[in-house]
Amino acid sequence: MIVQNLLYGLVNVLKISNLLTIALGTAIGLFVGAMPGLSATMAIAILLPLTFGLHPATGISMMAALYMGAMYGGSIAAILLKTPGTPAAAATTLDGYPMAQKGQAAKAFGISLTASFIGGMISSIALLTVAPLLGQIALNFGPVELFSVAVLGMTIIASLSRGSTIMGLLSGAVGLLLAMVGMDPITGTPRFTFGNIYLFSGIPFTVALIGLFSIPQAIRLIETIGNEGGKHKIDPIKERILPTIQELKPLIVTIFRSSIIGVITGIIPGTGGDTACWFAYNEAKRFSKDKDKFGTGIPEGVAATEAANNAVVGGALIPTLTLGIPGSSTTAVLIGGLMVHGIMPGPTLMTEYADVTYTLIWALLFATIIMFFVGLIFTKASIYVTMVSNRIIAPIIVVLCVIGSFAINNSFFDVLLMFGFGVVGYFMDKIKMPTAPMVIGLILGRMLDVSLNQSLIISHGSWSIFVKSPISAVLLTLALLSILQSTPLFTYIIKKIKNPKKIMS
Amino acid sequence: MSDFLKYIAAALLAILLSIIFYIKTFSLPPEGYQFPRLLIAVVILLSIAMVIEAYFKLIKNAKKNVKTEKNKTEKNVNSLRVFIFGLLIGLYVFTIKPVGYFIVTPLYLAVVYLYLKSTSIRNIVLISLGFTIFVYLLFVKFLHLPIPMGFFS
Repeated sequence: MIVQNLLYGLVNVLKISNLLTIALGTAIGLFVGAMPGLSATMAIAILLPLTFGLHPATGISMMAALYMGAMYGGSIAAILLKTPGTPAAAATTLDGYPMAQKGQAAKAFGISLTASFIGGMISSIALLTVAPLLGQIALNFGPVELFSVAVLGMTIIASLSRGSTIMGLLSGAVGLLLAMVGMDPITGTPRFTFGNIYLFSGIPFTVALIGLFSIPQAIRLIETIGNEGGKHKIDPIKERILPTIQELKPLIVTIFRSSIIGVITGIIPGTGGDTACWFAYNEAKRFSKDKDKFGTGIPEGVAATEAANNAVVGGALIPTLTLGIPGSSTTAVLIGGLMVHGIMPGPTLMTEYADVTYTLIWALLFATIIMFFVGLIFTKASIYVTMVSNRIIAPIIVVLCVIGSFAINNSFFDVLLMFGFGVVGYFMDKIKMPTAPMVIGLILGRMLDVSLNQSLIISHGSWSIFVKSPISAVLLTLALLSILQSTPLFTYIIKKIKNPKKIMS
Repeated sequence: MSDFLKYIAAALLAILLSIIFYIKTFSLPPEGYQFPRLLIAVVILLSIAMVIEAYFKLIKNAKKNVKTEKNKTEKNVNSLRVFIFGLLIGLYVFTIKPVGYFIVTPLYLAVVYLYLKSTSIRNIVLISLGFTIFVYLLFVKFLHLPIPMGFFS
């Protein structure tokens, strides 16, 4: 069955229309990624309505390609301007910018592109091999295990998000609460709709995420006007971009190590490219014989971060496609893309919607290959995108948000809702409360509600069912540990284990 | 507003939302309110925990006499500009339905660009009109998606 589905996905992705949309998605991703201040998540969120007119598999493949392209694109501004195009390219500035200062910008781009390509290929292969197998295991999960998986996903995402764990958990809990709006899936009665018929089918997830991710981003661009440090002069790049085999040879180990770090970081819900790039950079430095040279403009620094952030893409899609738990905020938006086509996240993604899911899996591999060629052709052109002013981009984002949220259901109420979520997102940003857990709460809310009710029906109302199932018990224990690990008590215990005498005295 | 007051405001809003939802649960059957009530309790507890955490952070910072990085960067934010930009977004959102995309969108873009002194007048006109037409062609002609037409519907 898995082989059949894989072959079906391969045939599907090789259709000219699919390959063209993947190429288009990669190119858009490259240019969006190159613009400082615009994240892949925001780009996917505002461009999501564009996929309505396409087949779900084609549309979602385009968005995944955009994600992959943006991961490489982020390095362009990082290398040229010392300003990461996307948060995932933050560590690339450390060695990329000094390389550009030494007149080696073309070399830095080449290493970044090659490392991104290898990282992307490794993560695509990981997705192709791990996802179908994990999907088979997930199929054996009943409502009890599904509830526990969702609880674990929520707690990990909340505790690993930037900032305080309490705020991450609160953001996630509010997201879950908002997901309760709409018709109750068990009794069929309207819940928290306040008599508004537009809310009977729940809060439109895509509308919420467009507001949460894009409006605050547009305002942030306005906030930073005047802080950019003047106009940058960009010199055209005339040198060859592609590195030679001799240049690449000493980087191979770093690239492979960083790719594996990226895949693993991606699999862990709540951590994304930004975490992976720093993790990989530190590891590359730790293993290097020339530790002191890191930060002065050495190719290893660029290779490590860029391999890792592209490897995150495939890794993050593994829990997203097999369990319906988004690995990052970007994959949460991708899930939104599936939901607008009526495809619900969960283990059935790999069976009921195998045509879409397996096409997406292959699309990532082809997006990586296409990204390499698009990168070779367009990198020299995309450096000029870094010069586009925030003053031009910010209102354009707003227009796309408004038109996109209207287009989803042809509803003005959705535009108001998007604006409301935008305001909420902006103030959350101001108090450093992460928005990703709220979005993921909105996705998982229904799944949690349904699986909880089904489990309680099975157990005749007894909550002990969640500890009687061994898988569920383990998952819930891990959920508890994920919360405890971010508390001061855990830090104290670790300190005590490491240095018992010091604590005792 | 100090950070601590911001956290109190956020916690109060979350608790208010929870109370409204809690009142609404009385009109639901037991199967319908079980999970929401659990979530309401969690939201209230976490809101209180957030304020306590912020309070301890406040005391810790006061002891160290630390000026946080956030306060330093906030000085560079032009609050009036952000407020006006937000106001213009609100105006755009509320006028697009009655007046329509073709009038409000180029107008919104042009006004924001003029306010932000983004580029020359000629470029402002070109970008505002060009982008409006581009989005129309992309959404309506190419993808067959609706846009609010207002007077033109």
